[in-house]
Amino acid sequence: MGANLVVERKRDWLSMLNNLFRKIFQRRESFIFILIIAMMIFLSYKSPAFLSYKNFMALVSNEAIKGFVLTGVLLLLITRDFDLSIGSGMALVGVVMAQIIHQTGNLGLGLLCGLLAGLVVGFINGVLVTKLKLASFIATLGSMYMARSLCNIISVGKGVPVENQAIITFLNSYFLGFPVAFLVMLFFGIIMSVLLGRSKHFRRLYYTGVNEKGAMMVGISTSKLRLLMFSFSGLMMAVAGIAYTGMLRSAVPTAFTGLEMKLIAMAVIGGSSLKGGQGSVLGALLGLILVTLIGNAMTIIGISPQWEGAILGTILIAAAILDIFVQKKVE
Amino acid sequence: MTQDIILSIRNICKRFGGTQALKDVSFDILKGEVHAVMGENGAGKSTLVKIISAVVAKDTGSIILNGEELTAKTPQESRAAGINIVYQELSLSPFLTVGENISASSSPMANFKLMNPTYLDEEAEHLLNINNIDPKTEIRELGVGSQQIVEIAGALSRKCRLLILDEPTSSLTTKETDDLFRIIEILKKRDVTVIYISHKINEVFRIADRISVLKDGEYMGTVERADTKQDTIINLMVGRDIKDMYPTKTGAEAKCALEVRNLSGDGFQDVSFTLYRGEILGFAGLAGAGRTELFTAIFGAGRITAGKVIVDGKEEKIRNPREAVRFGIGYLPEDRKETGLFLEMNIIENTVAASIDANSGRLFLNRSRAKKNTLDMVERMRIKLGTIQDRIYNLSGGNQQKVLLSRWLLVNPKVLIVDEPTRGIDVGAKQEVYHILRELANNDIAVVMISSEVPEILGMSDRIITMYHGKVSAVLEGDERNENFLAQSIVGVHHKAPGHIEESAQ
Repeated sequence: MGANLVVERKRDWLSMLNNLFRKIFQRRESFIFILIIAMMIFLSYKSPAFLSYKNFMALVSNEAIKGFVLTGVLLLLITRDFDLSIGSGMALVGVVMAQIIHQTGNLGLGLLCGLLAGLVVGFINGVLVTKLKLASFIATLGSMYMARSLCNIISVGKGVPVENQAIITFLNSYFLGFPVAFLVMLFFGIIMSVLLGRSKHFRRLYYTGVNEKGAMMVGISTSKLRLLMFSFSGLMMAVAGIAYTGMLRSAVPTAFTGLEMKLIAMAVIGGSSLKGGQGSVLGALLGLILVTLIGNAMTIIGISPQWEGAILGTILIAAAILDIFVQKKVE
Repeated sequence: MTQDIILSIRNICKRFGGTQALKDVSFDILKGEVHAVMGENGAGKSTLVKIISAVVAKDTGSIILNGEELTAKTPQESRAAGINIVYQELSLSPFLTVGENISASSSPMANFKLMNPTYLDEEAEHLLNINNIDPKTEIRELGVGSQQIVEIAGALSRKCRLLILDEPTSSLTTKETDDLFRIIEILKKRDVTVIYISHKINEVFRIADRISVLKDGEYMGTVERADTKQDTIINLMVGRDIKDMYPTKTGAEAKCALEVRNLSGDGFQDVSFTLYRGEILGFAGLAGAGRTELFTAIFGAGRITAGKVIVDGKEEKIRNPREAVRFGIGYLPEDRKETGLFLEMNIIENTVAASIDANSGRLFLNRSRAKKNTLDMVERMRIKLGTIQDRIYNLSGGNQQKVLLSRWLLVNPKVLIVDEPTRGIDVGAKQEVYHILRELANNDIAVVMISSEVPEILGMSDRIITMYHGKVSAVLEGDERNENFLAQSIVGVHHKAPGHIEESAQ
């Protein structure tokens, strides 16, 4: 009897482990993670410079900032929306901030106005989509053009330098051997990942994305949620715009063109979908890392950067096809 | 009527997942007759139509048209073979004119000719003329009835000899229905064979020469209308087990759960009624009578322009479904896939969708609680499934419906509105849903059941309210709950003074 129990427990333990493995390997995240590790091994073998502290940290702090906007993109994708104005919105945030600091010398005011600029772009997108019922595509395409044009108007078409040393030093500083931007992103990413995965409020985003009408009929305020997510995306746009402008010491009115598409591609590679209701923070961030590594690998191996689009496109389409196969298997 | 067979249906079988939609169905359609195919919802009528028109593939069996086996693989091929169908959902282009729609449908693209928007077949033109439809009007300006006539005209100009009408009157007014029947008479005179799919027995008896009946996917027989009574057909349609189909009624307490006074909004006007705890209040009417509009508005998902909604004795403004759920009102929508289910999500997620807060702590979803609640419901509702982690689209229609009922039970509703609760589910599941609804009523929940199925309304309701053209046309209680009164009130014939309605709305 006692022996039986032990055997059963052991079996139970084994099957649990088995289940755990299966669960892990069914996930898109695991697949990309393995790809990333493989690439890193390959790259450090190919070029010892890759894993050098300097190269790696420069890479990490630059890409970490994209993580913020990517989170915004992801939440929108989950509710079945997207935002084409992210790139030009980020540029606008930078130009507004730099111009105000330049004119007034007031860092706080510059930061505040930068944040507001991003929030306003996001909020307007949200109102156009949820209240006036425009398609995300059209509404954010319109605001994309408007934001870009505003950039040029405010900056008079030229780059605006940031002279405030405090913000530049802060953004380029290191803590415990890691870039500050990276540490903040890591912290933020973990919190968002837990919230998105487990909190009851964020669950409602998935319901909204899968079937908005159905979500409304079970008492979820879908319009309000979507408006909130557009605003959140605007806020993230502002955070990233400010950080980049500070790090690069100037705001360029033509910066970040086409970034929104790349971010959508990263999120989709990481398991999200334009069909809504899918995606995780971890997946999206892994998508970001993979795409970045590929870009880096090309320089190291010596492939012309002209090939980048071809490779990114191939991976994106492969990810989408993989998705269809997984769907079919489930059915 | 000649005795030539135009269409012969031979041993057709079709299975969808776990449900056998058609079991070895065989019968013949004679040339020039109006042949009705009857059966309840889910009996397999629509599946049969879809097989004939090659929208879905049959599993086994054959269809023989004019002595030759029909091999069409697509609806286009089937149409080219001479089978024309006017569906429940019309397929005209709203921004083109009547004439353009008809010539577009009758000039096959294979000819690579430019279509001539002014050309109309003589027969088609005549049909439009007698119905006062100008070929130059755009489709979107026409009512559903006229659109249907345009579809029929289109079929005529394709020189069609066999026309299938699939539930043609489901969204027509009485006058439009009369017009349609006149047209069918004309078609008959021109030797066009008409297959008339319907579950409405009165209409079928007005128009059909012969009637074939399907029940649960099985062919029950074909009869001559002239020497058949309506009761015979009903018996064939519903079978013998109708007696234990519906649970015993227990009647209601006199405690009011929801009161509606002079409510008007999009699609309904001046509606008043009282809903008591523990009762099942049936709402009957034709499609488009305003029942769904009324209750989605009460639920906060539609517009209310005037009137009051009183919940538990207090007047409340319910501005959105979220507030309705807080007041303890649940709503099971009529289109399960569109507004009910989260198809790509699993059974747990679907079950707890309306009770996320109750299944969570302050911030985080409590997965074990959600799982336990789902398992409890699976047991209580006897939902047949693999595991509760399976996606909901793996379940049969009946089991999906039970999950949706579970969803609302988890919010402990005081009022549960169910809109066409048994649409598209098989008879066994229907019976279970009926017993669940009665059990809920016995547990003091006030149940509103919107249904277009007469036997269901009669079998389930403690009281029946009928609506016609957005207004309450009658309140039927006690002995008044019979097929006769119901049929009259549904089409707006008042057999009672309207004063009676006011009285029962107290």
